[in-house]
Amino acid sequence: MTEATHLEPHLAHHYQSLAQQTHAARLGMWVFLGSEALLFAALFTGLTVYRTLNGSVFALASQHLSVAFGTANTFVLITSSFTVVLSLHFLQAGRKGLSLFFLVFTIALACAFLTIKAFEWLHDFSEGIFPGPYYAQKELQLPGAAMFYTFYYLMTGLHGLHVVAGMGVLAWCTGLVARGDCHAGYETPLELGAMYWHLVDIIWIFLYPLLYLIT
Amino acid sequence: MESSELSYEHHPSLVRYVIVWLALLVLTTLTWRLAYGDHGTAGLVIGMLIATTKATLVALFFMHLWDQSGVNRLVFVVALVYAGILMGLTVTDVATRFTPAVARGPTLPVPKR
Repeated sequence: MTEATHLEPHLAHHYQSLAQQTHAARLGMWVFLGSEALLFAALFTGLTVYRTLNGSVFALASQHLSVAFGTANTFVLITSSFTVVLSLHFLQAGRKGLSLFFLVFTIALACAFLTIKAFEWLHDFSEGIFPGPYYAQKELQLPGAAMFYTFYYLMTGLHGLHVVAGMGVLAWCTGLVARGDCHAGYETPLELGAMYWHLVDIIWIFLYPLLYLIT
Repeated sequence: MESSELSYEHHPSLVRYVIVWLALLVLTTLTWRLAYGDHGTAGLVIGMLIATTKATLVALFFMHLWDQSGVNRLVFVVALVYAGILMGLTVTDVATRFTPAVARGPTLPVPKR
């Protein structure tokens, strides 16, 4: 076992092989992502329940959101999922430089997402769209409207926190790849970090039609 | 152990990633156009079908579920089933209550965008 550990510097002593260790790491990550998906599923359920109870008010409220900002952010986030998978691909191929380039590019796209989100929220604030009791939009004063925007801020806000956390994870991966601690033959940290980023993308894929495109 | 985790050695090609990315861009454009038509409930159903397709593409090919062993797929499917129970049963309850039980919001005409 000592010899095997010597040959595989990343292998923890309680695993028989690096393949087994990688398998366990992936399984653990899937369980964690499953719990994250259920956290958002509860919020989606709440949104759907209040949408059912409030007739067409949610659809009217949705029309005051900016479809342009929401659509732009969908394209940004989907492309960032693509670039992080490219980073992993080039790391597996032993192209460290390209891998680092696409990792930094992904973080830049994450910054773009948050910037667009900030401008979107400022645009909403300027129309008096605030969450909960602070709702002050003159054009839409109907029961249920404030509830829609409360869900909107809660869900996009929690998703935004996940984007920030994902940026931290990707920055950490960038450090590992740059230092050579994550390399061709041992890509697990980047692979799991990328999986977290894909989850952030998947949640937005559902938020986009359910918040912006209600008809 | 090694035989059940083929993906440990196998790495998918770049072409596959590009195709999935393009498919995701096309589906996003479709969802966006959908919002400008008057489709009613059908629009919601189609929008959700497209979103589910996109999420499945990301999980299968970007998150490599396609290449991974059965137990990871099981975790993914179990999470989906539980989310389905949570949403399905809750919404079924609320949507089928008779009118006096809950005060519904007014039904107003929704103008086109």
